[in-house]
Amino acid sequence: MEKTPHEALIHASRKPILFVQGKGGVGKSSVALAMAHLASKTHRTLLVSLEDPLREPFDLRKLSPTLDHLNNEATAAFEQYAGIKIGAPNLVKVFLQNRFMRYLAKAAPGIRELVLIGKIWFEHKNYDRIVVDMPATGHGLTLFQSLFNWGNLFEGSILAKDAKAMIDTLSDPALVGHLVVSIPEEMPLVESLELRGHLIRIFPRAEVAFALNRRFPAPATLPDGKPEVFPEDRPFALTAREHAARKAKLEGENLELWSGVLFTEIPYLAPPAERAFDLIVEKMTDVLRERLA
Amino acid sequence: MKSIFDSIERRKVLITCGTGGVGKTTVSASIGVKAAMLGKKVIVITIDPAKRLATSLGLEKLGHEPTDLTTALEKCSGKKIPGKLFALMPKSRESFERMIRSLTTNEAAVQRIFKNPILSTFSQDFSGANEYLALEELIFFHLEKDFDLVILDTPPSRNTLSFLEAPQLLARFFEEKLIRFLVMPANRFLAFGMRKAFSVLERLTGAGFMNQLFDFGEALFEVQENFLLKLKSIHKLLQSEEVGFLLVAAPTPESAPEIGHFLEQIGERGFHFDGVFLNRSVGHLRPDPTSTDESERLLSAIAAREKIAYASLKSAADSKHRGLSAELFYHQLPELARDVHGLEDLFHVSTLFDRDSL
Repeated sequence: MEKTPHEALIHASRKPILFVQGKGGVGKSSVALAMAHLASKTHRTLLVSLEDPLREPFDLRKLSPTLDHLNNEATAAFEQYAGIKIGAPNLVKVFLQNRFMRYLAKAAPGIRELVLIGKIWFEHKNYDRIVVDMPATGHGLTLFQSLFNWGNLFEGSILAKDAKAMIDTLSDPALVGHLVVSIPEEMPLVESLELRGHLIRIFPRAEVAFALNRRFPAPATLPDGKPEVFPEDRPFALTAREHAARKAKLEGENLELWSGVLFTEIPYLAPPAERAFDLIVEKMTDVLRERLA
Repeated sequence: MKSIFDSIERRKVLITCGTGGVGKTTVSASIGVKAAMLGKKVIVITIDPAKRLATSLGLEKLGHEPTDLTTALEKCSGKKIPGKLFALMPKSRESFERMIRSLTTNEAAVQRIFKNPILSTFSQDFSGANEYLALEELIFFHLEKDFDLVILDTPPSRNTLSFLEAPQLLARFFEEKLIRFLVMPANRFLAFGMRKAFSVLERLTGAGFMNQLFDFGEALFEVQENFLLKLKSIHKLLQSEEVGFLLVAAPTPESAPEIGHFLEQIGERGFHFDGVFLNRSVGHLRPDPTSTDESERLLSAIAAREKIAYASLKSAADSKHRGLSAELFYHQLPELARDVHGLEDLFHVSTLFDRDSL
């Protein structure tokens, strides 16, 4: 069967756990929210954000009857995990109130990542679909890497067993999809390909779909149907017309970096300033619904 | 500060913060360019597993040792550069080693720390130790080398705040003497609660890890005094007038709450905030009101949104910053009509600092 550009996205949308990833500022949050909205039409869905400083730890909001939005946070996740593993409430209390343990939960590099990913893994038993709005590339990878780091350090322990189980789940392409979001600029495009490389190094069977967000519309053409050409030695455009034309040309050139990559395109959605994010998500949901149809 | 020029003139260290993708690295490097043109000997440090500074400088890669870019800058700007511009992208492992060696001359202790699996795991890339390393680099180049200005492009992280939290968190480990729990032989002298907690931890993490943890603690014990002194000096430095914090943000309405929150945290810690860069604005573009072209209409819509974003941002920032008395600058930087590919583009960005602040 001929592969269509949206096929990978369609596959990704059917996975029980979907990690939405990419460089900072490419629109991961809006894509994740749109994907979660779409999943929730047919499945009980959880959208997970990671440590949004503007929300309380573990704050759980109902966005619709079938869509919950969790603000995952490491200290809360550590406490919950310890509670489940230790069992006896008195012992849990002794453990969690211990200054040294509280310190570990807050400061040890890698522990926070481990419990954050652990919480996602834990919740996948409670929901049909989980969509994770991942942190920017480097930090997102840290989350996955921590499983292997701690799995080795904790060899033979309860934690290592859990880390191993998490790795098994997250390595399984039947359960997990990765959606890498980019915008048509050089660095995000390159970084997203590198990200795919890292993901496959960590999870060799990983299925990675690509979405190209904020594609600028084609500029006006001259009467002969050709695009207007502007000198490129000027670093800044003077008029909107020049900027639009040069931006479109630049995007086309940049996209050669993705030649051979199948991706879903999302146009540049510019809403009015009020309720900007909601409106973008609404429009984006419509676009993605069409792509997934 | 009235503008970034005041910051360049008066600070010894500038720390650029902001969420990913807003152009933090580009802005940091452009400030470096400007400072060198003003006669400063400046170094731009970026800790970034994705190696963006090298790309935006047009270099294949940057080494662990500072790279001198002054001649290259003279070439592409066509100007005589009175200062010096260096760039550096430290490697985690090397930074860690240098830090440990600066704390003790006892080679056996150094080797013991290096051999500990906990440390070697977490001094790798993508292990979450970047914030700590950034501070190590900052203090090293500020104190040990004769730079007039150190610009630190903070590592991409969970959020803009994790960088601010790193030094205090580390210091707590030593200040609250938490390390002593790791060096008591066989936990014999530990209080009941502590013993209980450790036995739970051992159940969760295994005996092997606990041994490594105790070994790690004992190894660090050797350097703890110097380490604590170092952390204290870092914190003192960050609070001093020598250090200014800068924020790079996108000119969108979503940035306002984040900026407000960031300023609150800066204030609480007693740090000094200099100003905001609103990067990649399209407000400078002359519109053609008669155009019906979709792409031009989109640019106008974005420009209109920027105006509203700027107003809410300024009010969020000013309300949080009130009481800190110092003046904030806002630089709006137009979006280039091409990708930032090298020093030349950074030079062009830096010329925009001359425009009036908003």
